[in-house]
Amino acid sequence: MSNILIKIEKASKSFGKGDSQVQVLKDVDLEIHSGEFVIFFGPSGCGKSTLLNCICGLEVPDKGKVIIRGEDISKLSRRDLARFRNKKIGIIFQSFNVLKSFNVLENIALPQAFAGVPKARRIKRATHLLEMFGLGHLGNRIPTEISGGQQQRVAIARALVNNPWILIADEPTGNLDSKSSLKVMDLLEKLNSKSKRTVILVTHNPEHLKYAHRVVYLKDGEISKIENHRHRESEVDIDKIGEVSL
Amino acid sequence: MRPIDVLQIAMSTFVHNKMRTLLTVFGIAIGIGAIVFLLSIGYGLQKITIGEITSIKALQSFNVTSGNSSILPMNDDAIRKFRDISGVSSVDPNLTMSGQISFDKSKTDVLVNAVSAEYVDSEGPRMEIGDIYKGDDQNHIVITSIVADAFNIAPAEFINKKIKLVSNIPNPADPKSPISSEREYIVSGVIKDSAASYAFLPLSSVEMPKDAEYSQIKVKVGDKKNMAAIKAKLVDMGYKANSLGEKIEQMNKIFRIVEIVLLVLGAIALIVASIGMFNTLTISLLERTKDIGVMKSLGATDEEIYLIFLSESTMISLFGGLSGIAIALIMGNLLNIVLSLLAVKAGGERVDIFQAPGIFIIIILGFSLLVGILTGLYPAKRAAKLNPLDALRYE
Repeated sequence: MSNILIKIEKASKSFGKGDSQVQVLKDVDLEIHSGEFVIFFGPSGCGKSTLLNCICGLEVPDKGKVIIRGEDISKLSRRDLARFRNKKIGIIFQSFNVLKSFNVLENIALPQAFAGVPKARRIKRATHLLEMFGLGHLGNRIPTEISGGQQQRVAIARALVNNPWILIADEPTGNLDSKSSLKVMDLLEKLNSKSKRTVILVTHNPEHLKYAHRVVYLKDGEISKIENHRHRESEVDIDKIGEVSL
Repeated sequence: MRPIDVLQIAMSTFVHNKMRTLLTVFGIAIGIGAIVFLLSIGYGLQKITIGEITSIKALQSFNVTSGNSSILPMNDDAIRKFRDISGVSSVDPNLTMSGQISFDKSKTDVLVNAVSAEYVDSEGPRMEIGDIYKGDDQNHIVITSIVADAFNIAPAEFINKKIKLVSNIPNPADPKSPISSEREYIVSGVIKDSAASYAFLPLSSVEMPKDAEYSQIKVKVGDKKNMAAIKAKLVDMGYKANSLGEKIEQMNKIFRIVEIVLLVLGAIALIVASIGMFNTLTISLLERTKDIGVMKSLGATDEEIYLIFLSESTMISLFGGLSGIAIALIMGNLLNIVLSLLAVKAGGERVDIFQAPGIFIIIILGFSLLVGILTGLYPAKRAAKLNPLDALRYE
């Protein structure tokens, strides 16, 4: 029980008004354990991205609760939510969203700037992560000078820079070719298995389902089924997850 | 988030959009530069004009003349009447006449003012060299530097030289034929004035014919507060009374209007530049909407985004203000150099038409920062209020 990291209780969310109102989430209940690799799978518009956004606090459910380690994040102020995202959640986007006005190292270090970490320490940590990812030679490049696959790995390093509990990725391979996709998925798998990060992923690609411990199938805003794919080797105590390692 | 990081993130836009940032900074620089330049010229003009004539003694006195000398003669009776006015500290007459100075076989015409030493003193002359004559002295004369120039002799070499003066003393019996009188004087001092050719000499050294009248009488006022009352009394008697103080006040009023006009012109330039800056910030906001979404999802708070945008506009205005002031100072000093060169070439003295006091520069710099902050408030607020998901979807 203690290792339930995320608990979603009767979360509902709708968009639009009046006749054009669409209910994207309908009373969704879900528990995610610490150290799990969970994939949300389903057709477009099934609510998987919205569910993901509710977990990282970018979206607030109309009804219901999103409880992360005992704290209902839907009750947090905008400011506290930003701080929470900064420290506890690493977000990875489909379109990488690496900022063009910074170089690779500055991009990775950016969340630490919001956390108030001094620049020298930020850059040291970013360099360490980049080298761990085998991209050490790209540190001073600007994002437009590197490939999409490299940009996405930079974005993953950025997501990890504040040592978060949870990695959230919304179709991280959606803009990548199959070879780069594989690299990114392998990296996420390693971060889950070796570094014990909880990974929650949205994907369209059925080939990726094998990476997950559990696959949550969504349809029309509801969880249609949950499949257990592989067993977690051991329970993970969130207080004991250490530094990122591969 | 550390302030230095706020600045650095704000600066990253500048680097990313060098040209646009430069143009915006340049716009502000022109606005601020125009204000500094125009106002400093207004200030310089005022200083030059009023500086020439300002001395406290000169301000607290009236030059009294008679509108009609047959009814109101400017004689010793008049002097006595003026002395009786309460609040008057001294009364000094001036007998003005034409004259001719001869020195070393050359001659030049001067306007001769036969006056007491106190009179000269209260005119507040700026001495090039030497001194004015003392109270009971009858042998010394003070000339202006242009008189020395006319003889092609440096003012310093004129000191203690003997000159011959022929003056045409007004003749009350026959105004058309003045009494010519020749006398030698020793030059005691040279007044710095390269425009007017005149001399001061002791009134006691001139033999005034009976019934002769003074050209004007200087009435000095002990306390500044009595100026208006004394002027009223003089006017009541039928005399005309002008004071330098009044003239300066009038000139100051004119200069204030000139300065306001110049300020308005500068302000228009600055307003145009501010609109340009607002435009730049708005475009920068639209361009970076997605970046704002990314930063917010990575954990930037609304306040941090607000500060980033506000410091962007503040920095633009700071750089603009600094370079505007620099441009104005460079242009102004160039103008001073060119005008001074021209003036010296034409026989005049150095002029500093552009004068920018330090406090004024500081005020303008503060003002340009204020413009930056005010212009940045709205875009910063918009950026801060953006919903991160909406911002992320923005293309």
